[in-house]
Order: sequence, then C-alpha cells, then structure tokens
Amino acid sequence: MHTIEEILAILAEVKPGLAPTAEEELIKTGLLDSVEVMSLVMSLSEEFDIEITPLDLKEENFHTAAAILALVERLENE
Amino acid sequence: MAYNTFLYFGLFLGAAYLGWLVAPARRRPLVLLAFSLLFYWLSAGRYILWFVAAAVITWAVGLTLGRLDELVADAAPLLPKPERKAYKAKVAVLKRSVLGAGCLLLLGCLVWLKYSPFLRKVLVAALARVPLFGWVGDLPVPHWVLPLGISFYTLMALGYLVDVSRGVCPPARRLWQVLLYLSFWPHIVEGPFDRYRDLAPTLLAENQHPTYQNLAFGAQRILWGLFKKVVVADRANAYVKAVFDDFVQYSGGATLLGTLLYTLQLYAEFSGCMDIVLGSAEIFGIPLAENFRQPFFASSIGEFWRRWHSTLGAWLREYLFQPFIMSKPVVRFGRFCRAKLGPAAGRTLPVALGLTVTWAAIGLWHGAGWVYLVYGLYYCALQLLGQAAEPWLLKAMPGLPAWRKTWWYKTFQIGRTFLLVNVGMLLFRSNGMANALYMLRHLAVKYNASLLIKVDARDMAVLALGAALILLVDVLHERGVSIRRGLATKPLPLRWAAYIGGVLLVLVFGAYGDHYDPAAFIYAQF
Repeated sequence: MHTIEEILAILAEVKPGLAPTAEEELIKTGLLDSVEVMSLVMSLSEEFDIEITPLDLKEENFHTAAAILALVERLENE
Repeated sequence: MAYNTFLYFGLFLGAAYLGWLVAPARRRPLVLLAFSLLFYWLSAGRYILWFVAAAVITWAVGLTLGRLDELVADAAPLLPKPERKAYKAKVAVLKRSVLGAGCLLLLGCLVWLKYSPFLRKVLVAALARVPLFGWVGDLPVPHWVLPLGISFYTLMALGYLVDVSRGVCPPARRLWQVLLYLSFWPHIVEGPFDRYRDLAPTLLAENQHPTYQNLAFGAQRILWGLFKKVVVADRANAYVKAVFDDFVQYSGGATLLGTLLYTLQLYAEFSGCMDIVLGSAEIFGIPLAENFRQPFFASSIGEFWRRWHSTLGAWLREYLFQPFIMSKPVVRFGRFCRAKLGPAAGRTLPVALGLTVTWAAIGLWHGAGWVYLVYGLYYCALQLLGQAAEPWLLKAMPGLPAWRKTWWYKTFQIGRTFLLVNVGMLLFRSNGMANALYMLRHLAVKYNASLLIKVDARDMAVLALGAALILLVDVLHERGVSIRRGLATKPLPLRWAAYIGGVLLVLVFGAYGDHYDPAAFIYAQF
C-alpha cells in the first residue's frame, strides 16, 4: 500500500512548485502537460518498479493525485 | 483540385451533395467513397495507384491483426493454463511482426517518395567528406511527383494500424471502409489527422441523413474559410512573396512586416482551409477533428502547438513521443542516467530525448531539408530551455506562481510566445538556412522603417480589417461563444443578410486579378 503523500512528493519533484490536493484536477487545468506526464511516468516506473504502457496513458489515470495512486496500486497488483 | 476554386465548391461539392442526397441511406458512404476517389483522381491522376496500394496494405494488415486477436480469444481458453501464456506470447510476437511489416511498407513508400532526394544529398555530402573513400560521385534517385496527401494518409494509416494492434479499435472488415477513411476528400489534402476510431461511427454509418442545420452550418464555415483564404491570405501573399523572394533588397522594417504578414497569411490560410474542409464534411453530417484552437492566445510554446495544427501534435504525441519514451532502450537509458547522474536526470533526459526526436519529426514532416529540421529543433530548444529554467526562475522569483495568475503576466506570456513563433515562421518561410540567418541578422541590426517596400494602402487596410475580424472571432471562440449557434437563433432576414454580406465580402475584397498571385494552399505540398 502506498500513500497519497508519496504521489504528491513525486509530483512536486516532476514540477517544482506543484502542490495539489489529492482530488485537484491536474490535466484539464493545465497543471500537468503531456511532457510533464511523461516525466511523471518515468518517475513512477522507477520509484514503484512498475511497467506503465502506452495503453495506461489515459487522462483518467493521471487527472488527479488520487487517480495516479490508484494506477500505481493496480499496476503493482497485476 | 484546390478547395478555394469554383470547380470545387461550385461543381464538385454540389454534385457530391446531390449524389449523396438522392442515394438510399445505406449507400451514402459508398457515394462519399466514389466522390473521394474522383477527387483524388482529378487532383493526382495516375498517382492514385500509390494511394490505393497504401490503402490495400492498411486494410490487409489491419485485418490480419484483428484475426490474430480473434485467434487468441478463441483458442487460448481451450489450452491448459501453462501453455496459454506461451501461446499468447507467440501470437504477440507474430502481431508485432505483422504490424512492423505493415508500418515499414507504408513508411518506406513515404520515405522513398518524399525524402529520397534529401537523403541522397546528405549521403553524397557525407561520403565526399570521408577521406578513405574520397568519393565525389552522385547517387541516381528518380524524381517522383509526390502523391496527393501522402504525408497525411500515411500517418492516418499508421495510427489506425497501431490502434488495431493495441485493441483500441476493431479492424475494418471491408476494403471500401479503409479506402473511404483514408481518401475522404475533405481531409486528404491538408488534414486534419482524424483517428479511425473517432471518424468511423459517422463516416461509415449506413444511416447518414441530411439536415438543414448541417447544410447551413457547413456552408457558413466554408464561407468563413474562403474569407480567410481569399481576402486575407492571398492578399498578404503578394507582400510576403516580394520580401522573402528578394530579402536582400529590403530593410529590417520591411522584413519585420513581411514576417508578421507571413504569420497572418499562414494562419488565415491553414485555418481557413480547415474551415473549408470541416465545413465540407459538416454538410454531410461528418464531424472532422478540429485542428486550430485560437493559437495566438497560447502562453507557451508547448501550448501553442496544442492549439496550432493540434491533430498533428496529438498524433505524434500518441504514436511517437509516448511509445518512444516507453520503449525498452529508452527506459534502459533512463535507468543508466538515474544510476550515474541521479533521479532528476533519469526522469528528464529520456523525456528530452523523446522531445528532440518528436520535434525533429515535426520539422521533417513539413519538408525534406535542413531548414525544416532546424525549424523543428528551434521549438524543441525553446521547450527544453523553458523546462530547464523553471526551477531557477522559481528560486529567483518566488512570486512567479502568483504572477502567473495575473492578467498582465498572462499578456506578457502571450506576447513572448507570439514573438518566438514569428521567429519560427521566418525560419519556415525563408528559402534555406543562410537566407534565414541573413534575414534575422538584418532584422536585428538594420532596422530602417523608411525603407519599406511600396505598400498599397488599400491592401493594407483590407488586411488590417481582415486580421481584426479574425482576431474578434478568435476572442469570442476563446470565451466559449458559438457564433454560428448565435446566428441560428436570429430572425431569417438577419441571417440571410449575414450570409449575403459574407459572400459579398469574399467577392468584393477577394484578392483576384492580374495584380495578385493567388497562392496554392501551403500545407497541400506536405
């Protein structure tokens, strides 16, 4: 089990100054663009030792910190 | 057949609509296919054979990929569990091979037809520099005429195959479905890049019905596109052509005006063309993807490219940028950077590499030449610089996040993006790198507004008013106002006054006659 704080810490590393709440919209508001999402994917893959595929790159998986946490936990269980 | 000719919107589009209207509903997609192939043949003659070959390859490969998926779905559950995994892995390898062969064939045609002269030049120059060879010969490369829309239909075909292999969309069962998807005349010449999964439900549907709203909205959009193309872009072209073709003659002021007018020309022309093609498809109730979203309101280069020719950006993001970064070699590169240089490098360097490859592809997609490669890498450098500078800027200016929410900082960002885009436009329009550098140098040091090219005051007045009208429409769209829906609620006389006024605007202020040189659509050459 991972915590939302771990995801928020990674988000702050990927984009300095970014400090969203767990449910704050990240994609539609432009807080994260496609390039930053890819940096995030690299960090998540390494940090949690998971394999994120192009099919996982859906807005619904990255639109909030909570959704990112859910993605990480799903991929870890696969 | 250009979209701004009477032959197109007077005869072809009229005949296509009538043919579609009188056909039984279930035959209407076939009428669209017949007119699409007729359009291609009228525009490209025997080069239609290249297109048909690409469509047949796409259909056959798509179908094979689909059959392989069906094979797994049917056979795998019948196998014992330990064998199931191995069976699936075997089919996955087969799928990758089929997909790879299909992509290679399609890309091979594109590279051979579009890039072989440029590759020959690069190869000859490289070989001549190798002292061991000392070779100064030449490589014979046949000069092909590019089949119409090859850069567009090839990328759409590749996207379709990748989607089928990922299981995102089912394969087209019939050849005519792929032929129609790729050849649909509104998007074959200049895009947009429509995805099969988005377009098929309406384009291939056997229940297409005419509606007054589709006809009226489509016609309005075509008229607006014609205004942008004929009144604004073709008028700006006369000045732009004079400055860029003979730039040594002109002062910095003339070059500056030429560059600004080229930006206006390209925007009016490309977005105008998109209005014509989206309007043409809308008449038949087919919604094509939007390619422009008020690009000059972008506050960064990344955002600009998400608003300008956005379907190309989306295609490259989905089928090149993301898979490239997630490919095994790049993931290994990321791990290597992380181990040697730290977590930040492991995260950012693979992405920077992916950006470089993607921007180079964007540049080279526009044309086979060094200047196009530099054009792409120019935007890449801007984006990478912006990302690298961000932590420093935040450290140096702690108030920056708050400033970014203010109107004045947003205005500054929009102005900065506009300026940088104009430099890119100069690179794009100049005929070669040496010319671009000369023009940029003289733009900076030899500014002399009194040495402007002779400007026709009436032309400039029409251009200024045209640009103001385009800006006004963009402002309204940016605020979420739907002008066409607003117009539809107005009384009949007012609506018709607007239509007749629009037609008169195009007829009276269009750049016709000996004085003008109506330019071919710039993006049609790609």
